[in-house]
Amino acid sequence: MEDTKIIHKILSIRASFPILAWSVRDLFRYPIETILLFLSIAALVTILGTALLLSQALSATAGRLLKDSPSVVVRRVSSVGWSALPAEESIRLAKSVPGVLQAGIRIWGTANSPAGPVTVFGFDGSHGFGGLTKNVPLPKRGEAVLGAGVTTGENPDFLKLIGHTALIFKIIDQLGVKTSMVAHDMVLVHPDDAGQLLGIAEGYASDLIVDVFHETEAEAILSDLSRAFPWPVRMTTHKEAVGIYISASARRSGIVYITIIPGILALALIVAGVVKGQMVRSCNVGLFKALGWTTTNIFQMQLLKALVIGIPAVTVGMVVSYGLVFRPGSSWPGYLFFGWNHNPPPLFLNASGAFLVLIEMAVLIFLPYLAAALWPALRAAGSDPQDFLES
Amino acid sequence: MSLSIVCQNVSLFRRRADGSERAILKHVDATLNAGEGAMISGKTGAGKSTLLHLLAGLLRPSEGQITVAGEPVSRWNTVHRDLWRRKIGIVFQHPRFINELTVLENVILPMIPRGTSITQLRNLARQALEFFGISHLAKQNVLSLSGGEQQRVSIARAIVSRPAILIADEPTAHQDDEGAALIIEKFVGWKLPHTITIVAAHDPRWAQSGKFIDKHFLLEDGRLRKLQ
Repeated sequence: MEDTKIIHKILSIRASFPILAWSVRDLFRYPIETILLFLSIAALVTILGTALLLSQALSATAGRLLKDSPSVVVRRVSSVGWSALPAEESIRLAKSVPGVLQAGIRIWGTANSPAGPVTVFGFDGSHGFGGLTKNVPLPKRGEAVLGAGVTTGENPDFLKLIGHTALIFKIIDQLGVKTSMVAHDMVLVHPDDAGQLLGIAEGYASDLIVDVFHETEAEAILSDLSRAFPWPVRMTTHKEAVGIYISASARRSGIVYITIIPGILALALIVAGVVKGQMVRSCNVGLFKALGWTTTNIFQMQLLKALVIGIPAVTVGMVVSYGLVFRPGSSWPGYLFFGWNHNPPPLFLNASGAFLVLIEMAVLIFLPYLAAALWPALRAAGSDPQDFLES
Repeated sequence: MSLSIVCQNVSLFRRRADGSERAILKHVDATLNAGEGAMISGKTGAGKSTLLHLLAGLLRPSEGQITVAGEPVSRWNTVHRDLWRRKIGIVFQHPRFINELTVLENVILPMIPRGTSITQLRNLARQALEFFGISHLAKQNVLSLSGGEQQRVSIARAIVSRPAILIADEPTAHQDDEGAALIIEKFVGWKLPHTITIVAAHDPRWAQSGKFIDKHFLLEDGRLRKLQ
């Protein structure tokens, strides 16, 4: 019996190549069915892969976007909304709170460019935006550095911005396309220009940023920080900012998840079709066994047939979905999730996120498909050929 | 131990629609040795095909056992029975093919899992077709053949792997005299000292040829009786 088992194993391995050739030949017996199955799986992987990749990419991008944001952002509020705060005094008051490591001010706001609203930022080199502006020259008065998504008017060397007043800037540089979306629609100008454009008086700032030693300390100092200022303030911690961003993204990406419902139905149809096809041809299994094929051989053949279709189909589907989400210039995710109409910033995917998507695709699509394809071999395992010849 | 097939008290029951059991084969005892050609005759529905399927390992007896070279093959598990079937070449009463394939591809079928190269497989299949004078049909679809041609393809497929045991169910059923004579002649040629050949037929031409039959059994009412 042991000898027989060893012979069986050797024969199984040696038999693999002719069985592979036969499996491919067998698929061409039903070319239309094979092509349709390939396209169905590829399309399904594309739909579900796009939804899952987008979800992962949004999380990863949010993580990058907010990684270098300050621990706490303090804004002065009034009955009409927010108002500028006195720069020097705010820094002094913030630094008086125990636990505060650093405090600084920002001058920023929204202005209109010829192509739509942009974020104007008073850039003095103290804000690195996570290294994005490392090699960017400091703008002098009347100069501007544009984010990748900002387009100029007719003259590509100058940009006219209209806010509290109208100013024309000479463009001295533009951030690369691959920079984070944090700087995507941003115009970096001299702080004094920013204040003038946004109507913020000299010595005043849009908000105050506070850094603490550790993120967990941020929430602990909020009440002390609030009490330190003689005017009402609204504070946002780094953790809250991430939460707001993710929940906003999740709300929008929920629309994408709706695609999973028809996707699952399509998968059920594919699995049912494969199983039905296998049942119709189950008499072939009886013939194979009667002619000396073992259950292992039949299993190998079914597995190879499934893989010959499944692996390229899943690969094509994943490549297409990856291209849809991450291809440079792919505009629909930016339009759908952030409202950018042109020159969208790239989304990011980390390795663990991509791996997770692959695992999800395997569990959602590949395993049910494989199980359906291997069903005849599983049935054959304990049956005599006559059972199939009579079916 | 030399090749021999022994049926010991083999019975097979089938369940009817009303739940009762009907005996298809009753207490069949027979011994076939290497080098022998055996013929099983009997009326239509006597159970000849069922007995051949039992001998070919396509189903298991309800009672009794079948031993080959002293090994109880009818009691082996599926894995070992799968391997055991490789020693057998079978010709079905109604030729069974994979309809979408050519004659050559159908003949290759038993050899595919045996680790032979594709070129060698083709050569073996062509030899088997030539043996029965039908190599010119190699590229045709099996469904385009006549009943007699299909039966010859079926026999070519059964012998392509040079089995130790050849089992054929009515191999001359669709043949004219010339075709039947060729098949009988080939079966006589297949009778080698190390092979066992079993034919179920009620075609009198087998008996008339006088060359093939070493043992002749008659199957009547599920019971096997040795005539010769």
